[in-house]
Amino acid sequence: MATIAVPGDRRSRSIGLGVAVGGAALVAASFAVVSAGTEAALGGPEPVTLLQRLLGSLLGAAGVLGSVLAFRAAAKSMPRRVASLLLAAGISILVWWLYLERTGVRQAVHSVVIAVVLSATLFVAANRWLDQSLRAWARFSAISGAALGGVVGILLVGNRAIGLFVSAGGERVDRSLWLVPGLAAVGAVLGFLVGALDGPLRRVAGVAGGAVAGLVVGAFLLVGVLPALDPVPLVGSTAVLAAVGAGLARLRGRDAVRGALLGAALGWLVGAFGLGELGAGTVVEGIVATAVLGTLLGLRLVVAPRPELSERLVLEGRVRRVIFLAPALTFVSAALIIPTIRTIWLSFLDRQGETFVGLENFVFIFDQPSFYDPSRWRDVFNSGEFLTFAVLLSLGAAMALRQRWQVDRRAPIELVAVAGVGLALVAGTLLDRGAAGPEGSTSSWYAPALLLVVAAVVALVRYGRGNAGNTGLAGPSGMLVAAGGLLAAFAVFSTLRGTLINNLWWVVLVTATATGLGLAIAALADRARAESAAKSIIFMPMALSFVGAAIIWRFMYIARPEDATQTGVLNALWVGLGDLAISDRAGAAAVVLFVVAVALLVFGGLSLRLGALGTGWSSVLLAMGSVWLGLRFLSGEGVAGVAVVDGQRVLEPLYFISGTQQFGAYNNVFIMIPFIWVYTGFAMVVFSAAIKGVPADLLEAGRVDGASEAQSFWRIVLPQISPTIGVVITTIIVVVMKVFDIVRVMTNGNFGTQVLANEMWNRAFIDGNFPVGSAVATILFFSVLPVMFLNIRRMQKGAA
Amino acid sequence: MAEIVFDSVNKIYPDGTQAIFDLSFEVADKEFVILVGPSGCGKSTALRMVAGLEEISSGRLLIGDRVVNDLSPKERDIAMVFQSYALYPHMSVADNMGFALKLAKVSKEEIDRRVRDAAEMLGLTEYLHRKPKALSGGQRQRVAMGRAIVRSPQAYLMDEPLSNLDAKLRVAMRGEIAALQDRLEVTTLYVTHDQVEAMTMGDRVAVMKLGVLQQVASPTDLYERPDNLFVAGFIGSPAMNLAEAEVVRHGDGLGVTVQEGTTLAIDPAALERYPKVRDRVGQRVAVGIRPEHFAAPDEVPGDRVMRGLPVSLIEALGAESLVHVDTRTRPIVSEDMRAAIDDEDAFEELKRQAAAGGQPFVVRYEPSRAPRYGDKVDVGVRTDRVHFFDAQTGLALR
Amino acid sequence: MSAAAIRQGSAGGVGKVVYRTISTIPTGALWLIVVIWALPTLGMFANSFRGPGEQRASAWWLLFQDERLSLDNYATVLGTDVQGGLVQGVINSFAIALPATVIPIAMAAFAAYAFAWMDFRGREWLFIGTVSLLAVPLQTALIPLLQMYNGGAKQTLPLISRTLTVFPDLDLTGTTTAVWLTHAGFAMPLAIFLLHNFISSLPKDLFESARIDGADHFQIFVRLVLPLSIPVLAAFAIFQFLWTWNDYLIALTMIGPAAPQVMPATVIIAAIAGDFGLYEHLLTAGAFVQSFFPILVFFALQKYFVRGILAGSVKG
Repeated sequence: MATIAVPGDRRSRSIGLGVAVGGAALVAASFAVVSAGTEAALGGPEPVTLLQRLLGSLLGAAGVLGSVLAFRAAAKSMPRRVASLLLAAGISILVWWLYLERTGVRQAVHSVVIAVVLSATLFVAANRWLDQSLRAWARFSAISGAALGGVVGILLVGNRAIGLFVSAGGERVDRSLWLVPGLAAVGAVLGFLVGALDGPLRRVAGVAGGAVAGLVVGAFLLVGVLPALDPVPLVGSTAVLAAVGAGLARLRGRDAVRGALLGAALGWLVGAFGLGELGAGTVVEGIVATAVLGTLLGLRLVVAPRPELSERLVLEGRVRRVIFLAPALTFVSAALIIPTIRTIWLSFLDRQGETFVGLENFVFIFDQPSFYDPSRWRDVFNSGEFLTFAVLLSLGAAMALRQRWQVDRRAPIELVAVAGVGLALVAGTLLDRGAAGPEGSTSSWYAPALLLVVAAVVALVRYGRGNAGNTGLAGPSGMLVAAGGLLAAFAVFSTLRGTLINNLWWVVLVTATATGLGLAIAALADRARAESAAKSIIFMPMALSFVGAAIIWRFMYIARPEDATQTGVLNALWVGLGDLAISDRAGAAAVVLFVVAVALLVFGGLSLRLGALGTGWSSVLLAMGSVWLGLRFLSGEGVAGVAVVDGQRVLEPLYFISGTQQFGAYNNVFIMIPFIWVYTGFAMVVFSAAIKGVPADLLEAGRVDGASEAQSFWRIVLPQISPTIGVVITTIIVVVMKVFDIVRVMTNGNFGTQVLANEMWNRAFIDGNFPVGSAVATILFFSVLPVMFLNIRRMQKGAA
Repeated sequence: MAEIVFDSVNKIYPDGTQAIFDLSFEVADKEFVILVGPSGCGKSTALRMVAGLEEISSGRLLIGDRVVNDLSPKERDIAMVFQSYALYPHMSVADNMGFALKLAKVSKEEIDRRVRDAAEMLGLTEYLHRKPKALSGGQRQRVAMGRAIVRSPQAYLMDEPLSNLDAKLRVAMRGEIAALQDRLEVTTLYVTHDQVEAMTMGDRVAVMKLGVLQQVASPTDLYERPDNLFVAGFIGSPAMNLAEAEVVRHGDGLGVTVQEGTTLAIDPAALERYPKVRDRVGQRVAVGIRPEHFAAPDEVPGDRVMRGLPVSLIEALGAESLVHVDTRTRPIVSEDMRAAIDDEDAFEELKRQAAAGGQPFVVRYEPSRAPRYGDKVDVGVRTDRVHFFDAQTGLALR
Repeated sequence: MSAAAIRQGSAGGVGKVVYRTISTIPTGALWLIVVIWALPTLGMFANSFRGPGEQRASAWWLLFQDERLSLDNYATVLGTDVQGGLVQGVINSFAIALPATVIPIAMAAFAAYAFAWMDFRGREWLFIGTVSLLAVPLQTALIPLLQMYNGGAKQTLPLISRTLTVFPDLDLTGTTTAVWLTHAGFAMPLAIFLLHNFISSLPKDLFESARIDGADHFQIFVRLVLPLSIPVLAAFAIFQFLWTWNDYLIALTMIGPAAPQVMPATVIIAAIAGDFGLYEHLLTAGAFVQSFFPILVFFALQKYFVRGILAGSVKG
């Protein structure tokens, strides 16, 4: 035998085959032994049946075959071969054992195997069936007839329209399912005749066949659907729909007769079963109704001549598309389109889901203070967060001004305005707080504050537009302003309350933090050693479930009672710091802190002289922190988790996410942290790929032009990857909007941490109030819609 | 018998643009026909219509006596070599070559045998187990050829199969493909935009322009007897020098005024080939002179010389020197020329020259007799070899 | 030379030291972040080997001072005493994640091929419409889907007021089938989008060559598109496997917390977390068991996972 394969290839193939066959035989043999044993060992109420044993051994054989294939595929190196072989063999043996051992596994395997095999078979069979349309028309036509008959049979039996009951041993036994193959057989014969014959014989066969099929259906109609035939509506609807059908066919340039026949059939169907009273007719009426219908359809089938090759080609192309598209589109419409429409519809119904109540459910939801509570909005403007925002705003603007002045001796009016507004806000808020105390504003300071904030935003936007890419708010000063903005958002979100506000808070904080951190880490990692290991570790949480992440962070947050050891990392650090502050080593620690502070100051000063602004200012800040901490250590009053009251050590652990009012609205933030922990990795990976995609030429050109590392990041890399930033932000927003798992596992919405998705779930599935749940889901749907719209448009642009 | 016949074939796209106008010609059994033309001339569309990849809007297409308009590609029994080779990246060379046979359910032994034969013919035997990624450009090209050979189809269709190769390899493969076709004796339709390929490979060449067939002829005929201005301008490298000129009475016979003050006497031999020139006395026609049809001033009669032409560029190619001399002749600016030049920048330059009232002629010199840059030279014209075309319609004045 | 480097010359020796220190900051900062990021997971992992007493009395970083490290937590959580046991949970997770990965990928591949390489009127429109469904949040579809699994779907025809059964009452609630069916539906738009992006970028010549070689659409799909799409299929498979394995919302809705024999691992550990005080010590082991396969997949196939993430950063 001639062969073109290289010698080794052939040999390894035969070896592979040998091993596979041998393995299968081995499995079969061992199965015989094991099954004899398991019969005795398992016993129990559910003995393993023969079929199950067979499936089990098949699975085992498939496993061995798979391992052999894996062995051959991983032919690169011996250790890899062995490893993959062992892995595959291990998995297959495990599956096999579990299959025999556990009922749950058996059920799972069965449902999976049935689903996968069934869909694969259906797809392949449909394609093979269609192949026949070009090769053997009569066969194709017969198979189509059989399939159509079967489907119609299933529909009729399923809708309790036809049935077959026999008495066996005095009992009435349902044998309706036999009608399905029966109708399939009728369809097959009819299809074959219409496909194989030609000329007048074909017409006779079609009409007669249609009539017979109708008679068969009619003969088995159940009493409940026997129609009372009323000639007027019957003839009326038949005539009307026939005319409509003819008209439509004409409009589309098709044969009017065929359109009319199809319309007539539909009209007859409506007239007989739709308009007539069901269950009131006689058997004869039922048979007439279906026989006429069948005849009309048969006639429709044969008025057209047998299709030519070119027509068959067109048909083949059209049906092939359906075969390829239908499975996916069916799933999409069943799982997405129809349910979404139903949900929106349901949100307008009353609790029983029957009467239309308009927007009542939405009004109800918005009336709940737990959902949306803006009552304390004036307090926004004298909160600590707002004060900090004002400070950061003025600081950032001042820094940007200084930078701009150094570069081109210009002081843009917008920056001056922002700095001024910031200072005014600081002064105003301080005065307000002085007058009213931190709890609740009494003055009307909110009005000027609001105006000033708007002015600052307008000025910033104007400056950003006019000076894109210019010196100013890029770098540390911009970060200060951004951080200020985040704090302003905090001021709003911790003052206005409710599910809706919580969701917004989530969106703002998680999106900003995960994006920012992800970008920062990607930038850091880009020039660090062991980059990929570091990125792997930060990315790893993406592989965990939110449930898992929530659990992991509950352990981080654990607070033990005052007298017990703190076992959560955060509280242990917190209390440990306090203990250090009042221990006899506090003095030494303070000295160390002061030395560190001095070193940091020197380093920071030098960095600033070198132009490394970020490093410089952060060193100075750290130094200030160290000094403050050192002073606290020396004072002996305790710090962090330890206070000294009357010379007694009093422990004050942090009760994260709890009913104690220690953190109030900020409980939300602690639930967001696990989410940020997970999604920072996502942002990092996407940004990292984008940064690597910035052309090296560009960076080299920048370096030749004298840009420092920091400058080339802010001025070259960042603008290049700005589309990616948009993608990451929108993606995270969409995911965050729907946050559910973490909230459910950590608090289940308690302690003022409810979010839309969990509220929806509780309303629908705990309270059992589907319409109100649907209303919340609808709110969620419409809030995600604009973001997704943006995303899809970008996606299309990217694809085009 | 496997001739390919185009019978008034048209291609109209759904948006109404027409790519092929009434195409009629025949590729005889075992013949190697090259379809050539500038980009967008419809040559690839024509080929793809033969392959069954494009629908035929009207007309008939026959392969071996069978009308194939409505047949799918697989029923036409043709093989095609693509410009990108279109090798299946996940299959070995052997699998690539045997894929069509496998789909046709040919027995395994038969596939093996035919693949091995073809591989031997192409020198691919030792690469049979390799994936396309592990092959060089030339080897990939051979695999693509092999894939066609293995099927022993009624016809080969080749769509610019050499344009992805570098220049040297292309020359070698040109000869190889021609030799292979000669040996296998399979009807071949070969599409290219490279007129050198067209001239060197095929039995006959079909020239197309904007969806219209211009001329089908042997390479020599095409070169020596172009049917129209477009073919004259497109075929030949360097291209024919073309200028607008006036036919005048000159002594006993006719002359042609190519530029102010220069009237060249037309040789009676040329009038024999282009008899209609006689009817055009006093009219403007297009005159064409190939670079090799110039001569030293003393080799031709004195009234066939263009005098005092400044040399503007010299391409010294070793075996010959192509000398560009500035003339005051008027270039021909027409859609024909735009298509023949097939380069927007060059055409813009031509328009500029037309406005300035002068264009360079390319003259072929023996290297030893070539002038130097800046010289003013006298150039004799072998007016027995010049070509004449109608200035408006572009048709040869035959 | 960067600007900072130029100035560095003027600052002399001290400047050089400072500059060098600054240049080590990125690596230092990065590894500091890495430690912070790894800490929570490490803590949970360490605690999972310690008994309830140890977990309460001392912190996990004192692990090696413990006298006794054991696998008791794992044994308990895998056994059947707590919420039906995680062995069954992991099996159920497989029973959900495997079909929910395989089936949508296959179907989406068919559809993606049709959208990419079959010509028909309204193709663009239909494709954009399908992909736009990425926008639909899960929550919007839950209630009707649950109703359908519970009692089938019926549609009353307008005008003639006859009710037809569109989807039979198969009593699917409380089964893994309901969960993976839902996942399969939700995965479809993204899967079609990703696979279409890839399949439509395959060179056109390949398909034409295959047609001339005598392949029809089905053969092209099976012999050409599937083998060539393996990288993108793998990328999406991993993405989808992790997504469905880690899902909580759909499983909780379709199965509910009251059916231990079919609950996937996430629902089980969430239920254990509900009794935080009682089973706190088991959660560590439970969470780790639940995360075992995702972490395995993550480290073994990270390249593909990243590819899926990059391509799929539009998941709705």
